[in-house]
Formats: sequence, C-alpha cells, structure tokens
Amino acid sequence: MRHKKNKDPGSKGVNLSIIVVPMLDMSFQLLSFFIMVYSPNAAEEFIGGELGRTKAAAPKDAAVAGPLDKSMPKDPTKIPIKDIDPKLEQSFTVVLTTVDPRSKGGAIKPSATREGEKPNFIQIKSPANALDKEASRDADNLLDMATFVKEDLAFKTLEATLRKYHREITMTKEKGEAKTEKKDEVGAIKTAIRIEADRGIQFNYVIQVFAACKRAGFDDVTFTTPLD
Amino acid sequence: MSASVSEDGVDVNLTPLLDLVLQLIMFFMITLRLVQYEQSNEEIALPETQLSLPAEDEKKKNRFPVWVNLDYEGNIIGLGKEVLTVPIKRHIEDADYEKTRAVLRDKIESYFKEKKTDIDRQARVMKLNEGEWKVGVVIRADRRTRYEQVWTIMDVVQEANFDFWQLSVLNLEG
Repeated sequence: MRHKKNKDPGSKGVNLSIIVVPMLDMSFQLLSFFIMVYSPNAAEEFIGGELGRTKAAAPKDAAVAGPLDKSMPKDPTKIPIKDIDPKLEQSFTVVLTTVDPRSKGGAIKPSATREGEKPNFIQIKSPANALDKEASRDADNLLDMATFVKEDLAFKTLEATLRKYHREITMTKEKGEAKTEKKDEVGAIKTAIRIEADRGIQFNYVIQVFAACKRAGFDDVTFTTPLD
Repeated sequence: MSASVSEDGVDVNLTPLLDLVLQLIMFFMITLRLVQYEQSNEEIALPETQLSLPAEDEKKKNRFPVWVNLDYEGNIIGLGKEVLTVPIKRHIEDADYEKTRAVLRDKIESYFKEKKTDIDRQARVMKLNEGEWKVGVVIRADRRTRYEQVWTIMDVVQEANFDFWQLSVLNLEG
C-alpha cells in the first residue's frame, strides 16, 4: 500500500488519510455481501412439548402422556362412563370441520387437491356438554366461517369465547369476596383444550386455533388424532 | 459530510462515512443467522400467527433437533435422497393408505433412529452425561399442508422414542 508523504515540512510521520479509500471500498463490498445474505427470519419460533418415553413394544394405539393425545375417543358417547379418562370431563374440545356438525356423518369427502382446505365450522365442546350430544349442538359454541367477512374475525371470536370460559373456570367468587383463582392441590389449573380437525383441514387453521387457545389463557393445549 | 479546501483541491473527510459503513457491517454480522439449508428452506411457507411463547429457559439447553420440512403437497424435503410423500386417507377403510403409511413409517423411523444415534454420539463427545440432553424433531410444515400429514409425522416421532417435538411457526408478535 502506498502512503502519501506529508508535504508539511514542519511535521514528522506519514499522512494516513489516503488509505481510507481502499478500506472504504472493501467496507462497501462487505456491506453489500451482508445485505444480500441477510434474511430477517428471526420471527420463526417453535411450539411443542415433551414426549413421554414409550416402549417400542407398546401397542400403537395405547394412550400416552404428552401433547400428542391419542386417548381421545372418536365418539365419546360410545365408551362406557367407567372407562372414560376423568381428564376428558375437564377438557374443552375445539373441532375444525368442513361438514356442519349438526348434520355430520358419512364417509370422508375426497379432496380435489393435495393441499388442505378451509374449515367451514369451528365448534367448541365444553367439558359439561362434551358427552352430551344435544348440548354440544349449542349454537353459541358453533362458529360458521361463512358468516365472518374475514377469517381473523372468526379466530378473534373463538378467542373471546374461550377467554370467557377460562375466566369462568379459573375464577371463583364466594360470599361477596373478590374473585380469586381456583387451583387444585398442586396449585395448577388442569383444564385442557384438545384440538380435533378433519384430515383435510389446512395445517394453518389448526395453528390459528392453537394460538387462539393460548391467547385465551389455556396452557395445556393438545392435538388429537384427525377425525375420520 | 465535511470538506476542506487544500492546495491540491477539495479533500472530502471520509472518516464519518467509514464509521457508518462499519457500523452497518457490524449490525448485519450480528443479526445474520448462519443456518443450515434444512432449517431455512424457503419453499416452506410457515403458518403465521400471534403467539406469546415463554422464553427459553435453562432446561431447554442441550436440545438436539432433527429438522423435517413438509411442503404443501405433503412431500418430505431433505430426508435422504428419496422424496417421500405422506399418504392421504381417501376413505375410512383405505387399505392402500395403511400400506403406504406403514412403508413411510419404517423409512422415517429408520432415518430418525440413524440421526438420533449420530446426535447421541455428538452429545457424548461434548461430555454430556446420560440424560443431560434431549433429542427431538422440529417439523417445518407448510401452512397449506393437510393436518393429517402433519399428524402422521408427529405420530411417527411419538413412536420413534424421541424426547420432544416442535412445530415451526412465524410469530408476528415477536
């Protein structure tokens, strides 16, 4: 690198100002490189949880602990009451389906594409009516996606409904006292939400429902086997 | 930018410009994520949502994930050389579905187990004691993928004896 000699006879040393130019060139090249490879993907996050260790020899349909909940029967009304997991009675179930639950039945509707499809209905089955078919047809718990101008509004409505339920479950008012949190023996609230969806529903909608449940305050949100 | 007139002409003071450029370089260097291809496959359009996720705690350290990318047609990308497609159930008693699913399950399980062995070896090299690390699967599924296909992967993960599973989402709240 060449250095320009200082022309001032009164001072000693080398004037370094000239080496700034190649340095600036290099800096711009580096800057261009970083701008080109920059990808603002920092917003990618992960949802999930621990899995219970299962033995290889265990039957595949056995109930397992953890977020993948296979213990949810396809039709709880067909299981004798004594065999029903007590947890089920405390759990909400959010169902995403293309077929109106009021007239549900029959074979799977084949999909024209390999992509998933939009749900036409979102139904909330509350713990009290999860085993009661008539009660589960409550119109308040059934969101018809066609009635919403934007999909976001449907998820906001779902969130508001779930938030209301969460408040009812977790808060109690006794003898005019201020509302306090209900807790079990270990200080936790066990009420869970299970998400059921038709096989062909787009994964995105399942995630939107998951997020709505979480935003409503439920910590224990699990996915269940796709509906047949 | 300041400039001074000398005997030779106009001298532009480049120092503040250089400072700024170097600061920009530092910003990009710090925020750059050097990730593997399988972790940043741009063919996958992840679901976007607003979600308050808890901050990573100490317990979540020493986690080794195996990445699985699932495109909108249910093809698993980057799982060996072969393109695997997660089958779709056409009707309730679909014999072809069960058959294809069993084959797929075997392939995915063997791939996962192979990966898990590698990770277990890595953990031992890092001098971690048994039980101090966790091996799981991160599923990067396209937002348009059918739920049953994502579920199938989760189901296989469950059976392949992994410690955890995670679903990738784009958090708009962040």
